[in-house]
Amino acid sequence: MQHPIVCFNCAVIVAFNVPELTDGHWHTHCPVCGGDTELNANLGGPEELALFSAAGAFLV
Amino acid sequence: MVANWRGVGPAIRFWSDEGSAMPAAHFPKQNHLLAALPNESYARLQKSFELVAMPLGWVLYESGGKLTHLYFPSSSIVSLLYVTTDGASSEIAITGNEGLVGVSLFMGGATTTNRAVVQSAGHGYRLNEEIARREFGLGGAFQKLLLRYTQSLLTQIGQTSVCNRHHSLDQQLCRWLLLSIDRLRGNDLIMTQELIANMLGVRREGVTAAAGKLQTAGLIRYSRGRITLLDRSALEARVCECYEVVKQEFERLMSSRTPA
Repeated sequence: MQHPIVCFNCAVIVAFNVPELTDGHWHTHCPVCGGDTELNANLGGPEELALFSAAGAFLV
Repeated sequence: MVANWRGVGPAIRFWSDEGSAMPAAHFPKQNHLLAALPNESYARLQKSFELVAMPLGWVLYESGGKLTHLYFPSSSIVSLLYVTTDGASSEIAITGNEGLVGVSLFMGGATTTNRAVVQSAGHGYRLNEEIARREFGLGGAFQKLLLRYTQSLLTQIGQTSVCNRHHSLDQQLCRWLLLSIDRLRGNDLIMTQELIANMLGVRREGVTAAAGKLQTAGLIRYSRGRITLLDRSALEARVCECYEVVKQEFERLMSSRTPA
């Protein structure tokens, strides 16, 4: 089960979307502050969707 | 139309290509099979496509595991691998935005002996097994398209077997690089030598040597896990016949689409 992602820039809970991938780095956008949070992909078992956790600020 | 937000969850379903709140960068027709569907078939399935992130190393299904979805990569690449009992692995085929993963779901076997792993991170769409089987069972364009794709996949699997047996590692690496980059936008592939070695079923040192030769010859640049194709025509001149056989057979099969 995907846990809520907290925006690394403004600390609000991001309405988590399927993340974007830029240059091999996963990230998700925060509509509140306009910043992006870098994500780590945590791989699960077969057919389980990958879960993501916040890893830091991401500069787009 | 607003995207159907299901709260905190691993995926969100999108049902409109145009005029929706979904990010403009993603839509199902980025997968060429889905783009080839007649409007009627596509309209029936559109609301059922689920956009998914496909990270490197993610396992879609294991050998012997029951498949629950068809996957249609849009920007990712998936490797079909066979893993031996002593843990050695070899890639038997790759699929990107030209195809789908999970043929056994509609071929009737339900499970398969190979394993599907994301080789190049990106996105894709998945379709629930019940919906996929129902649409396939209608016997229309969806079925015909999937069967033709399956035939092209069999060609790729067969040719890979021949290539692994009869051609040099240099040629196998060239084939693998071309087939991978054909399925990506641009000329860059993010990949470690260890993973390439697993795909080709060889030792990493062999891949290092082969990649080094290609780099020295100015065909690729390999730095920190990123492979950049510098001279495509030279790489095509160096590759064995297997690359063209797979490519031409796919183009032949997929050009004979069911009229809309």
